[in-house]
Amino acid sequence: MMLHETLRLIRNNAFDLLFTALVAGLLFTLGDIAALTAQDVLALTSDLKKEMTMEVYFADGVAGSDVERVSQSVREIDGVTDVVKRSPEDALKEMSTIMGTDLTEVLGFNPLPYSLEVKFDMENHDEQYLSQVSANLAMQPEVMEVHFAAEWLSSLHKLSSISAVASSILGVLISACALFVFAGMNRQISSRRGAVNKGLLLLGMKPSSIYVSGLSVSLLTGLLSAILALAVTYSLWKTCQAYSLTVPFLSAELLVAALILPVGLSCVAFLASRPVSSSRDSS
Amino acid sequence: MPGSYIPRVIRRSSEYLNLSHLNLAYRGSRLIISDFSLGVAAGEGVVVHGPAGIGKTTLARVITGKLRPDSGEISVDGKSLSASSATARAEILARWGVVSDDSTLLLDRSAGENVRTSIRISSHGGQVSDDDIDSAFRRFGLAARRSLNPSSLSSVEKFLLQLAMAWARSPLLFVLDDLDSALDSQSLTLAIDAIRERYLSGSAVLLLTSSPELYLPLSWRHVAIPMVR
Repeated sequence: MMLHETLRLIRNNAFDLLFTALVAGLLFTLGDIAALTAQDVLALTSDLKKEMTMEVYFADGVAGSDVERVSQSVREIDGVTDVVKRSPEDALKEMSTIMGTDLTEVLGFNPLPYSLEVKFDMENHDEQYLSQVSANLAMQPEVMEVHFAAEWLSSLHKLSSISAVASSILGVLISACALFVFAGMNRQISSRRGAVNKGLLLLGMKPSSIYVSGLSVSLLTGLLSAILALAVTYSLWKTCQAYSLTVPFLSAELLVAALILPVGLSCVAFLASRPVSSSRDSS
Repeated sequence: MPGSYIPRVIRRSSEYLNLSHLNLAYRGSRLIISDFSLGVAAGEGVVVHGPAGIGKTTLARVITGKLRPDSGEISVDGKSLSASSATARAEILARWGVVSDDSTLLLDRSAGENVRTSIRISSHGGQVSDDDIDSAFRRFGLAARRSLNPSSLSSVEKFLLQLAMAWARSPLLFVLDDLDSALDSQSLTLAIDAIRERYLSGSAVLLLTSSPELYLPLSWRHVAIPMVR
């Protein structure tokens, strides 16, 4: 009986149901794209932050043995994963390759000092720690200068924070809009359906059956909108791949959230719109 | 075979519906029903009468649970309706045939589907044959109206369709409000014949009317609603 009424409800309100699913689906598509973009930014910044490189330049005239001693002490610093020593000759070769000309021919001497390329694992360390290490190294008499991308790191922090906040705000706004769309549909159907529900109650249909029929229709709308949003998002994702663009990955968590959120919102909208009127009038 | 869904009752063997000291006031002030009591035995026919405006429709609404009395008790088969859950009340209504101004018509489906739904609810979702529906439509002279939406029927046909819906489920109790003012004389004769048929096979009937003389030939018990002072 309940199934019959649910199917009838779907058939009689097919246009409203599909239209609502379409509008909500487009809203959720925006949400899905925003979430994917935010996830991509976070993944990207997280990858970049995982390993940072610091350049340590030695003063002119520092002997190779002193460089080796400093290099050993650097290896013992917490978070250092690798230290590559670069001699003035190696540095000159690299520079000449990059510039396309031999610097010694121009200058008559090799101006480049010894240097160390120090790699840090940033999983357990932050920008402040790196600054501290940098300051300590710079105080060594053999060291002339220490470089690391402090500004870049700070920008990455900001970017990932902004991205997370923006996508959260967008998610809340889209959820609110979708909630109104679903609630509007439920109110419209229930106002049209009010007399029928009263008739069914008078015929002896259980209020719970009427309630579950309405809820099923609302949940179906939510599910349709979620499927539509995922289909559009997936098409865009494939299109990006086809054009070899950097594309975010569709994680299992995101897929589950993209399915559960619309269905949950449609359920909340149904409950909030009080679609099944009481069988008892007031006197 | 219509009538095969509800187990028959033994006529007038026990009190089926009991209304005890019902009181209802309009918006808490003007009394509409005052200390009204009535018992309807299983399989009994009762005509409750009184002039227009005395509260017959209100009483029908109270009996069917559309209105809650201010005080008093309604019990069905010895069980209090007010103490029953919504599901239990629905199960009672599913075994009744209610026809009143408060239309039971479902405007989102054809007349035939209205009868099918009515039988299906009373039989707890059981299969309904086309023959059952056809016989209900034929019984009330609505054979040509089966595929139409109730909204396109005349007011008399709408009332007859409600009667067909109630009749088709072979109810334990008919609650019929203002039959005579809703139907013309020809339709009323048709309706009384059909209800009498069900009465003879065990259905109780509670008929509320302002023209009790029309039902004298049925030899049912007549109860007057007292005027409220």
